[in-house]
Amino acid sequence: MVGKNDLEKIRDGVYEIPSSARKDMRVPARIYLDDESAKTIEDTAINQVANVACLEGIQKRSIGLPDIHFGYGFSIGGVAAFAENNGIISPGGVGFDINCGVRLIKTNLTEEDIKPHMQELVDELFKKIPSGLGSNGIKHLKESEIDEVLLNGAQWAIENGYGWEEDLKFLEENGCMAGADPDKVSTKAKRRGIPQLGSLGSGNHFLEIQSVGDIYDEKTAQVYGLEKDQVVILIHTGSRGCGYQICADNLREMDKTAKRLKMNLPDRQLACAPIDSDEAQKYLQAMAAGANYAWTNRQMIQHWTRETFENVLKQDADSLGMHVLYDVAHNIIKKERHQVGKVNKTVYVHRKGATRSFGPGRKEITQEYRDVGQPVLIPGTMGTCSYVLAGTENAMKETFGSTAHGAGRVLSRSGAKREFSPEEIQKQLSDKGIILKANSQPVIAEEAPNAYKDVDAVVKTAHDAGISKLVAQMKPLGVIKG
Amino acid sequence: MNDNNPNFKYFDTTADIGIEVESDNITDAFKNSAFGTLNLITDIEKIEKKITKEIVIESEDEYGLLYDWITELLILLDSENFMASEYNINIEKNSDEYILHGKISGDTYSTDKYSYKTEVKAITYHEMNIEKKDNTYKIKFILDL
Repeated sequence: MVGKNDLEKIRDGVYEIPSSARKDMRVPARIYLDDESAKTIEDTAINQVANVACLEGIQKRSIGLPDIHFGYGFSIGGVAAFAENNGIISPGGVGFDINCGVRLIKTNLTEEDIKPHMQELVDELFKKIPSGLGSNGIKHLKESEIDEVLLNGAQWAIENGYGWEEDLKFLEENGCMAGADPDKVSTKAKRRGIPQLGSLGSGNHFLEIQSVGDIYDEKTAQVYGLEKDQVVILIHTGSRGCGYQICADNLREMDKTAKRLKMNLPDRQLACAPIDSDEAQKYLQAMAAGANYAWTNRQMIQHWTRETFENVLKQDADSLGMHVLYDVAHNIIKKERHQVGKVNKTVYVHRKGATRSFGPGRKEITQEYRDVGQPVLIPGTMGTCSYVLAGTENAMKETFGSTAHGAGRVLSRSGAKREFSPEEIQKQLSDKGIILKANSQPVIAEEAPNAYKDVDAVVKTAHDAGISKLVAQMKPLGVIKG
Repeated sequence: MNDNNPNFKYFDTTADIGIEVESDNITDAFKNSAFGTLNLITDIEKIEKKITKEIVIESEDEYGLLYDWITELLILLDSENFMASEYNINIEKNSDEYILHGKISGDTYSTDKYSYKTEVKAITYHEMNIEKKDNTYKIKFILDL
């Protein structure tokens, strides 16, 4: 076991544990932290980054991001790339909520324009968009339709009237991951997914109306179409029960495989299989299907958001300028080309609680943004700011084009419930002029802003270390929570 | 302990929550594990017993069986809004597998009728432990919320 005492400072904001620290580490473990966090970070999270450094075929280094915290197997806020020829695939390197992610929608409204309508907008959005327990989508899918969703992702939603064709251009993978195979998704996962398509869910998922505060990079903000005081809408949700079950099924399968092959894993939740094995290929095809479910889910929620704005403001979504800024995945495996030493290689990048942060010029970035790097969307927690950053060349060199994804939890849920009451949190938010509407009172306390690491510090570390650069800050005006 | 008298303890982890149970036999330990899980979502004792479902789960060992049992209850909730509050189950061991079978009873969850606490995504293998000591079965596991 290694911990914070083994961290060696490489430069400001960057620490490493050399591969010599443990006999089984194949590569170093690198963690992006400010000096304060380096003193307080949980040893268990650091050890998880080191555990991942032990896996077959890992390239360059195992990475922990500024929002790192303890996960199962892989830490949350972790990145690892495995070589195509001898690497592994691990469902624990993605997590249960496959393609949990964030979408940001622009408007041409200002904070002043929207203030008189805020209460009505929050009430109507809460009514329209299913959230909370047993939150079933408005659209009741037929059993035969779920396969189309899993195969075609957001494209399915557009074809069925949930959005505009142009939306697809601004989604990672254009909202449809290649290689998805609905036949590799179990009936159990489909059963969990069918009633829930088009729902926000619960826990840390939310929908928020925000206004742009500080702009840090005028040129990039202009390219993304952001300006001060502009109203934007952030949607944070994922693949719901469908994704949880795809992960659970495959972890279970790979656990059996690991047992059968007597694989010597540092942690049972690191269950994995060689990339060319049937188990790994089956998981990748099912994971892609789960990712497509999540893009469809966010697409539908976006559609109802546009409809709600149209109804309340009596203006159509197009003239309100409700275009997608971008949509990013936080939990996913991607097959990408990266420079490893002198070689340009195909690797499978596992991002768990991490955002792709591709710098200028990468062909995966939509033409509109390619010159400035991709938008990186980092949501805060209830009542705190969220951020737009841009991908950087340095991220390509150091982190396989990845950066942080949000604020990591620091206080347990029951700890948060002991320290904060839902009424107190609600009052704090309303004192700041933030309207909150939630299904569950306990969730309000569990998700108290102080239960999380300070997101401002997370993005500052990511910016200072150069793995993404700050573009704009968004302040919350109204929050819908599951 | 009484068959359907919940008996479980929660323990803290940073991001999620763990459940510990101690029962006289494996069947009761599995029942208590289920109570503990569903009680995170709503006050499970208040769920009426209106609908009964047959259940059969087969797994290669006790750990797999616990994973599959808790997973099945979460699937029933997501897919049918069904929340079980009474478990008339038995666990048998054959030469190479464990079988859990029996009937579970509960109600369709509705926000008008029942409270809502938090969402449970999945059971994890992390620190999962099943231990038989003297005449008690101890189970410990962590749920991803």
